[in-house]
Amino acid sequence: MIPLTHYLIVSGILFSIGLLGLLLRRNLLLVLLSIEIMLNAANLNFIAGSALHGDTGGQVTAFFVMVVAAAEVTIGLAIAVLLFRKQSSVDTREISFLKG
Amino acid sequence: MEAVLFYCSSALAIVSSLLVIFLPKPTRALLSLIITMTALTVLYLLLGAHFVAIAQIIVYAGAVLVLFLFVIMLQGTAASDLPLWKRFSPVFITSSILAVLLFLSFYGRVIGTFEPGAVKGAAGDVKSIGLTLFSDFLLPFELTSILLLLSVFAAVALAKKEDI
Amino acid sequence: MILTSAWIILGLPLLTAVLISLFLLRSPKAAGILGTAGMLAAFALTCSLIPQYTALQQQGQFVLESSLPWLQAGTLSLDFGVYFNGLSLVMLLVVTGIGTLVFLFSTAYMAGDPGYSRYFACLSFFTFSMLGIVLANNLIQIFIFWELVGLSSYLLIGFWFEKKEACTAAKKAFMTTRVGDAGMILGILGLTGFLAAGNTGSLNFTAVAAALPSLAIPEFWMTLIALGIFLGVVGKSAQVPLHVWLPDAMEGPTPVSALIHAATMVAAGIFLLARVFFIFEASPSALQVIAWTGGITAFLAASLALVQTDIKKILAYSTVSQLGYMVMALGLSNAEAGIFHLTMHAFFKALLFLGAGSLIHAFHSQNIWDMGARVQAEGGRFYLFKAMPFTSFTFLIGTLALMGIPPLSGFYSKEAILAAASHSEAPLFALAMITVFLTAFYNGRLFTLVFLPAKRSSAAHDAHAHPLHEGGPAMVLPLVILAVLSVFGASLPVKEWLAAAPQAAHGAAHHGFDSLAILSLAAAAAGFLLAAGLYFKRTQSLRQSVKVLAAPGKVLDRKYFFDEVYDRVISGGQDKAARYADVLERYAFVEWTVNGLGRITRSLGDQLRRLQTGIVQFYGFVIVVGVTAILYIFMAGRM
Repeated sequence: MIPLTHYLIVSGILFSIGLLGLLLRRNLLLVLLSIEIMLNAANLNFIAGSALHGDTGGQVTAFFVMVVAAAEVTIGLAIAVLLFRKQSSVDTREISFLKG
Repeated sequence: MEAVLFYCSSALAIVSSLLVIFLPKPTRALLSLIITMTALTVLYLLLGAHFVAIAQIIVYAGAVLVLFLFVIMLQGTAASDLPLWKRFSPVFITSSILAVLLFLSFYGRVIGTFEPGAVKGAAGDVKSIGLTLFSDFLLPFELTSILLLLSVFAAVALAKKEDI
Repeated sequence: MILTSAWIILGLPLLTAVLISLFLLRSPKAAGILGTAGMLAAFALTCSLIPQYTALQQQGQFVLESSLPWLQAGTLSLDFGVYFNGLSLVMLLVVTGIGTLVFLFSTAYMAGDPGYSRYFACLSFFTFSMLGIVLANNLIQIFIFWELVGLSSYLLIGFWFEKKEACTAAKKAFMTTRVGDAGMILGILGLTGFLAAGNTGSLNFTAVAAALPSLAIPEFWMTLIALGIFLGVVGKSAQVPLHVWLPDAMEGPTPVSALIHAATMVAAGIFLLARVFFIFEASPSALQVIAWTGGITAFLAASLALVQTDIKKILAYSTVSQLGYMVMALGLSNAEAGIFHLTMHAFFKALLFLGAGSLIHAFHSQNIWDMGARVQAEGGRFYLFKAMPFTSFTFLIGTLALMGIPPLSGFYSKEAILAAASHSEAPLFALAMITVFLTAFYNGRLFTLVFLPAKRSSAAHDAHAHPLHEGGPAMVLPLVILAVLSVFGASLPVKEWLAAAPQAAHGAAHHGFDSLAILSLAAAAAGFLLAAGLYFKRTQSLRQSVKVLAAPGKVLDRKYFFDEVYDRVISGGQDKAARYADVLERYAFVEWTVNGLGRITRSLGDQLRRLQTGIVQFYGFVIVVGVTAILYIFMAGRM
C-alpha cells in the first residue's frame, strides 16, 4: 500500500508547479492553464481525503470542483477572446490598465 | 504493482506539468496538460474513485481543454511565449520561485506531522456517488446547475459581436 | 438721611453723564450747563451733610454703612454699598467742591472745541467713578471703581484723540496704572484667601478690620498683601517707579489735569491707604517701604521739575512730589497729616493748574520761556500783573501755598508731615527737607520766568497775536475761590472730621513756630530767593550758561532714563518673547506638525502607490507571499 501522505505530497508539488506557472507565464491563456493545474492538484487532495476517511463526500466535492472549473474556464476564455479582439494580443504585461 | 503504477503516473504528472509551464508554444503546453490529466486519472483510479476518474477524462480533459484549444487557436499558430528568463525581470522570477518553494516547504512540514492512521478506502462506484450526490449534496448540485447556466449566459453576453 | 444723600451724590454725576451722552451730544451749551449744575447740586448736598455728621460725631457714632447684597459665592458674600465716615466726608467735599469749580472753568476754557459735550460726559463719568471709590464699602467695589477711574482718565487724557501724542499718553497712563492694579488685585485676592480660611464671609471694610487681628496671618504674607495693595497706590498716585505716566498725561486739556491729576484721581491712592490702613498697620515692613517710596518720589520728582520748560509738566512733577509727601506721611502712620495735606494740596494745586490754564488760554503756548519773552516784549517786567491781575495774584498765592509759607494752608499741612518725618530715620527726614528746598527753587524759577521776566535784547513784538487778557468770569471765579481756600483752608476742621474715635482733647496741633518750622521756612525762602536771583536776569537756561550743570541737566532731562529702561526691558523683552513665540509657532507647530503630517501622508501615499503596478502576476506574487505568511502563522504550532 502506498501511504496516503505520498498522494498529498504529489498534490502539493503539482500545486506549486501550477502556482509557478501562474506567476511566470506571460500569455493569458497559459496562465489559465496553470490555474487548471492547481485545481487538479486540489482535486487529488480531495480524493485522497475521501479514501482516507471512507467518505464519498470528498469525491463528490471533487466532482463539483470540476464543474466549477468548467464554468470558470468558459467565462475566462470569453474574456480572453474579448481582450484578443481589442488588443490582438493576450500578453499580460499589456493589460495594466489598473496601474497607479 | 500498485506502487509501480503510482510512481510512474505521479512522475509523469509532475514532468508534464513542468512542461506546461515551460513550453513556449501554447498548443504544446496544452497537450502536456492533457497528459497531466490522464496521469491524474490513473491516480484517481488507484485511490478507488472510478466515477471521478472517468468524469475527469470525459469532462475535463475531453471538453474543457478542447475548448481551451479552440481559443488558443484563435491566437494564430504563430503565437508563442518568450523563453523563461526573458519574460519577467530576474528579480521577480527568483523571488517568485523562492516564494513558491517556501510555500511548498510549509506544506511539506504540515504533511510531515500528519499521521493518518489506517486508510479505509472509499467506494467510488457510480451507485454510491449517486446516493451521496442526491441526498447530502442536493443543494450544491442544484446550485451548480444554475452556475453552469449562468456561465453560458455570461459567455454569450460577453463575447458576442455588437453588430447583431 | 446721610446715607440716602450719599447714594444720591454718587448717582448724580452718573445721571448727568448718561443724559449728556444720550441726548445732548449736539447741544454743547446745554451739556455744559447740565454737567456743572449736577456737580453743584452734589456739592450742595455734601455741604448739607457737614452739620449732620458733626452732630452724629458728638453722639459718639462715627461710621455709617448702607449695603445691598450683590453676589454670593460659597461662603463669601459680596455687597454693593456706601460707607460713610469722616474720611468719606472730607474726600466728598474735595471731589465735589473742586469738581464744581473745574466744571465751571471748563465751560469757558473748552468753548468752541468740537468735542465739548463729550468732554462734559466724560468728566461727569469720571466724577462718578471717583465718588464710587470714596463711598465704596468693600474691597472689590473699591477695585471696580478704581478701574473705572482708570478708564475715565484714559478717555480724558486722550480727549484730543486726533493728536498722536495724546493717544500714546492715554495708553501709557492706562497701562502703567494697570501694572499697579495687578498688584492690587493680587493683594486683595491673597487677603480674601486668608479671610475665607478664617470663615469671614464678607469683604466689607468693617468686617475685614474686625477679623484681621484674629486671623493671625503670618508676617511674610501680610507684608506681601500690603505691598500688593500698595502697588495699586503706586500706580494710581504716580509714585516711583510707576510715575512715568503723569507728566505725559499733560496731553489732556488743562482743566482735566487740574481735576484728575492734581486733586482727585491721584489722591485716590492716598485715600485708599487711609481707608484700609488697618491692613498696612499689620505689617511694619510694608510701612517702611511705603514711607521710603514716598520720600524718594518726593525728591526725585522735585529734581525733575527743575529742568522742565512746559508749565504743565512743572506742575505735574510738583504733584508727584507732593504726593510723595502724602505717601510718606501715611507710611509713618500719620494718616491725619497725609489727608490734611491732600486736602490743602487739592486747593492750591487745582488753583495752580487752572491758573496755568488761564495763562495757556491767553498765550496759546505752554512754554515758560516763550511766555516770559512775550510779557517782556509787550510791556516790560510787571506787565502781566497789569494785563491779567486775577491770574497773576492767585498764581502767586498758589505758589506761596505750595512752598509752605505761613500763614497759608500749605504751611500747616507740610509742617505736620515734616514733624512726622523728623521722628523717623534721619535720611528720610533729610530727603524731605532737601525736597522743601527744591520745591521752592522750581517754584521760584517758574514764577520768575513767567511773571518777572528778564529783558530780552532781541525781543520781537508780535503784533498779530491777541493782547493778553483774562479769560472771562467763568475762568476767574474758580481761581479766586481756590485762592481764598488756599489762604484760609487750614482753618477747616478737617482733623476733627477725620476723627474716628471720640477725642477728649486735640493732640497738640503744630500750629506754633518751633525750630522745625523755622528750618523749613529757611529752606523754602533760600530756595525761592536763589531761584529768583538766578533767573531774574537770565535769558537762556542755566545749563547753557554754567557748563558744570550740563551733564546732570541731561540726566534730568531724560527723566533719569526711566522711560528708556522701561522701553528696553519691558517692550523690548516682550517683543523678543513675541518673536520667539512667532518662530516657534511658525516652525514647530505649523511647518513641522501640521504641514509635516500632510507631507508624510502624501509621501506615504506616493510610496504605497507603487504597489499598484497593474500587472496581474505581481498581484499573484503578493498573494502567494501573503498566504504563505498566514499559513506560517496559523500552522506555527504544528510545525
